[in-house]
Amino acid sequence: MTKRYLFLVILLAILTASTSYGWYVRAIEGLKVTALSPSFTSWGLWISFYIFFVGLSAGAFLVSSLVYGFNFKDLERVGRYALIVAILSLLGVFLSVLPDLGRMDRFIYLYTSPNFSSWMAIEAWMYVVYIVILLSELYFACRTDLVRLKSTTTGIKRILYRVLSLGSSDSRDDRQLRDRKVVRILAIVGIPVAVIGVHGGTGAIFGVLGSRVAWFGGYTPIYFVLSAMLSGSAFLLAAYIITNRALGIKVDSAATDKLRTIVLLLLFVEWFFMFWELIVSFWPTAPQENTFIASLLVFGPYWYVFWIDELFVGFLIPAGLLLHRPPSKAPIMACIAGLMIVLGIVGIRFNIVLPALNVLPLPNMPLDWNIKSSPWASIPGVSGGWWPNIGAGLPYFPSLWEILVELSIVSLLVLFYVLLVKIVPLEEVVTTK
Amino acid sequence: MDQLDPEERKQSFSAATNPREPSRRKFLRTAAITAAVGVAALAPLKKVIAVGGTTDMLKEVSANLPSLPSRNGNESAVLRMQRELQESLQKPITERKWIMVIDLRKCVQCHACTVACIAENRTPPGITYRPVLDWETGKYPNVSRRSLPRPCFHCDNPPCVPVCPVKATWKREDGVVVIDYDKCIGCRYCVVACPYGARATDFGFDWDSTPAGPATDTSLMNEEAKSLVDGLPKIEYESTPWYDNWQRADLVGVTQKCHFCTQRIDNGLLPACVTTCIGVATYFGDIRNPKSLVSELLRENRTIRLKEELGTEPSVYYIVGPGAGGTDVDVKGIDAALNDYKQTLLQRELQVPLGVPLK
Repeated sequence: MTKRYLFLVILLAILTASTSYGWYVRAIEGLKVTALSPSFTSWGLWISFYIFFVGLSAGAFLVSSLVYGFNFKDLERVGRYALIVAILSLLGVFLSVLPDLGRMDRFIYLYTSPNFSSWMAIEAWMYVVYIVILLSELYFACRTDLVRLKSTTTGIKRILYRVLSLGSSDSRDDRQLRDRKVVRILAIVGIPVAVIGVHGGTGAIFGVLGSRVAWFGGYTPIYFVLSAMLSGSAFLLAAYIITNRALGIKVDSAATDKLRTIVLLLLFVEWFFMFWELIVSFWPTAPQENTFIASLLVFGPYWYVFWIDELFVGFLIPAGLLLHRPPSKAPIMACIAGLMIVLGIVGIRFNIVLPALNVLPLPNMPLDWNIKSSPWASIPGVSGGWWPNIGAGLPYFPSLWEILVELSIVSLLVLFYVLLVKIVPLEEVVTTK
Repeated sequence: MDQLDPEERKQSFSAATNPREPSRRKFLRTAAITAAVGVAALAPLKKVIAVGGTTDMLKEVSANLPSLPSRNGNESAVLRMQRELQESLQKPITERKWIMVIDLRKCVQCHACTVACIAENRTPPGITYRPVLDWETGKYPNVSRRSLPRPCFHCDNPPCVPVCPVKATWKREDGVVVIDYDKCIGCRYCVVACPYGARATDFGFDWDSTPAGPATDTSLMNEEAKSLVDGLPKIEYESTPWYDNWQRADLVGVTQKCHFCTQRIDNGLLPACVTTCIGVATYFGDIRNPKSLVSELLRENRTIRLKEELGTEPSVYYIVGPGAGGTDVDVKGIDAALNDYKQTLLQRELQVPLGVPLK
């Protein structure tokens, strides 16, 4: 355990603890500390991150399924990273949606009295099925290595691995083959759960609402899954390179180059979708509300999210970086490109949720409390005030507390990741007996 | 019968306003008393105007009163709706369906319904069950103002109900879409799903500083007034008293909406917005009763519902013009308003012999 590692852990712990003040304020003061409004912009930053984390989890899982389900030999070294990212992202899902509930204490009602005509209830159950698949897949993928580590380590580590290996002590090769079969089945069963259940279903939460033309339709779940795969693979590209360099493990160039191909392919398909979505929405024959929402997206109060975050940070620059040189030649550049794509996807998530909610359900509705009292309302460009006559254009910009809560979630997940990569055997453990 | 015994007055009042168990017998007695009082009071009415020397206008109006053409006898629209509501309550719940009809031509944008709703349901800042949307149309000098009171539409296919992940909202058998505040987790999916923006979540704004209103402050009232106030339903349905912060805090964080004043209609009273509407532009009643005022209005007038294309089948209709028969509801409007005015005069007249000497 190096000094640098300890420093990183302590830094992340301090960051998580200090930003957790946002949770305290949220719990004591309630939803009024958010910049949301009681009846118009009901969802904001937290829900954007909720769907972002669902996507990251599903995307990472799909990459792991390529390894464990379909034997993509090139990507084999990335498999366990993918599972760890998928599990931690799912934790982010729960943590992001929790503060958004008006009654956090009634979270359990999703499980005690679910209404399965609501995609939100279906999802709540899907996430449980999904996390069981993820955890057992990770367990069976590492079981033999955990058993081997149990016999080679001492002290606290030995106890830890004894707990993690769940009492198993068989590390023979035939047992390992059986584990692989179990993992293979889990990986393949997990694909429909992740694509249709977890992420397509999250898209369906939005896609089934006939009252919101920007969301309604079969396109929404498909687009969710597509950007999920992009965010998952791009994040893995970055995480794999960073982690391996930090831990001093050799970066497998075959794996990174393969990931780069996947990422580039998905990136262009993603923007192909985006292109047609915008063209169709702006065509004069499109429903007026569609055009209005698309113009909110491109020219409205969130113009910078689209132009700067989605287009430049999320698409043009990383595409250029990845096309310029392969990760095997320029690993740091590929790493930056991967993280930029992930940031771009955050913007995409924000722009799925927010512009559609910035439309008044009926014209000339009296605006309510939060909108007028938003501390950002006076900042031009942020409030949307500079863009004239775009309709309501209710300016939502996350409040300090919303940002703090989300920061604490992100830093907690990074902290867990940093801890987990030290504990979970990322490479096959070879014992010489 | 120039005067009424105070005890009898109290009984007739409480029967009309507090029929927790509305019975036909009680109702008939009330109607009989009202009719008797009405006939008896006409004579002193003229007297008081003459004696008191009130304006000529009042004299003119009162002289015109008996000769007004009226299709519903002397019953005003509000009283008729109240009577029909109590009649419908006698039926089993599955055989009644509450609807609202709003005459857009009669709405004067006074926002009294919004205020009455806030007062009745004690909604916190940020939540308005029934805002009146108003806007200006046309180009100067050809401008006019339009308005649209917007309660919850209590759709027959409510998009807000199937999306609730915890079965906290449903459509009652009498058509009212309600929320169980003890079940709602505050996810706000229904707020997003409603095409009309009729739902809102209580974020807890200004909760502690909301002053206790005079309606619940009974310390200054005499015994009779206290007993009357205590008999009235004064809290939101299925909830605890609003003035008790600790208990009322249970509503913070959950989603709320217009529920046709369930606490009132279940007890035989019209929704607050209906009784308050100064132009009698809002009607409420049972569409399953073909003789009810709302059924009559729907038959005789041109109505619209909002966003019909979504197939939500709202239970709130807007009158936008006369029907094919040419019956214009405005006739009924003036008629009803004048009848209401007459009722007011009669009630005032009733009190005169008790308090103020006539000579």
